[in-house]
Amino acid sequence: MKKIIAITVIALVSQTLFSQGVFDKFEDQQDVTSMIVTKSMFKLMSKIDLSSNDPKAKEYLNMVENLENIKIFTTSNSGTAAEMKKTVDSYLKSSTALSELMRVSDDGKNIKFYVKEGKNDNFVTELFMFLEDANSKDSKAVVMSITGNIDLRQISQLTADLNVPGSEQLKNIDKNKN
Amino acid sequence: MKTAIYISISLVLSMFLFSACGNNASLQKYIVEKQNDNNFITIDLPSSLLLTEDNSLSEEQLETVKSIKKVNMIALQLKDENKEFYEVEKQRVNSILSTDTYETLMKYGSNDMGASLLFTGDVEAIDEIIIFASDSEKGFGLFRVIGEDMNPSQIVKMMNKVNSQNFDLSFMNEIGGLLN
Repeated sequence: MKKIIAITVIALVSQTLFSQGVFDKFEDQQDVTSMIVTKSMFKLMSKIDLSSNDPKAKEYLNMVENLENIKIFTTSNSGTAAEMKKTVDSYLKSSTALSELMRVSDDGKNIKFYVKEGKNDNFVTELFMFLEDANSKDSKAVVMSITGNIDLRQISQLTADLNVPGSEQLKNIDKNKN
Repeated sequence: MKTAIYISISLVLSMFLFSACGNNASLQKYIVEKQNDNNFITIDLPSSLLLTEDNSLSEEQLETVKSIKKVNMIALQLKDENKEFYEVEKQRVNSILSTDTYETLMKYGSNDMGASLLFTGDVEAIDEIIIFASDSEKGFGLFRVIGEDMNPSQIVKMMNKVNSQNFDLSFMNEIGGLLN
């Protein structure tokens, strides 16, 4: 009797826990700027097809349509930045599927990119970025996660459009791979 | 043993039922309720009012305009004396928007500003577009476009082609005036 109730409760609780991302807790925190774009938005964007004659634009839209979501959390508070780092570390530990793609150190800025492998070399199911910059005034730490069926050859265009730090370096990804 | 299973099943079922009832608190109801409330600024515009008299829109473009039924706006200014009331109302809108009826497209949040873009319907046939924005000093505003099977690509195409001669957007200035 008690067991069954306990199992039901656990099942219900864990369901709500799993449906939330590890980083979603930062969304409502003080000193955190958050930006979330959902799957429906990407679907909608890909429907607004204005330059359909351009094959490059088509490829780009095609990738956009296959994205699940984008989450970006930025903090200006060093305490929150430390907490973010902790969460990032445990996230990277919990998921062995994430492997380091690239690391950039530039002027006190530390940017790391991780990916989760997809169907082949050119595709990943998650692109994860963590930036630390103790000297910066408004972005001491930035966490970005893009999930979906991501074409690495198109991703630098997308991150540049979103104004994500480190997009410049991502442009070289293709060259690094070959 | 059996009774335990029954109890858990009915518990689960009642949870589903409760969440279903929660959907009744729709945005439409909320806005209608606030239309007679002096604390709020409300604007309700049928899309036909947006079109100017002599129109050079094509059949197709007119069709697109007709898919938009009306534009709704509701705003609550934040003042020193209504802080508590403001928080309660903001919470109410947030809880309505967090139901499954509304799908979030985009969300932005920082210390003093928050904004979200939501919709109902299908991505190619939108029924309702909602923008909810709040500012920790000024107040919140809810902007709503209601239509029937609105096609985003048609609307964007139309917006690019038509000029201001076809639309009377003076109401935008009025809204701006009301807010300041």
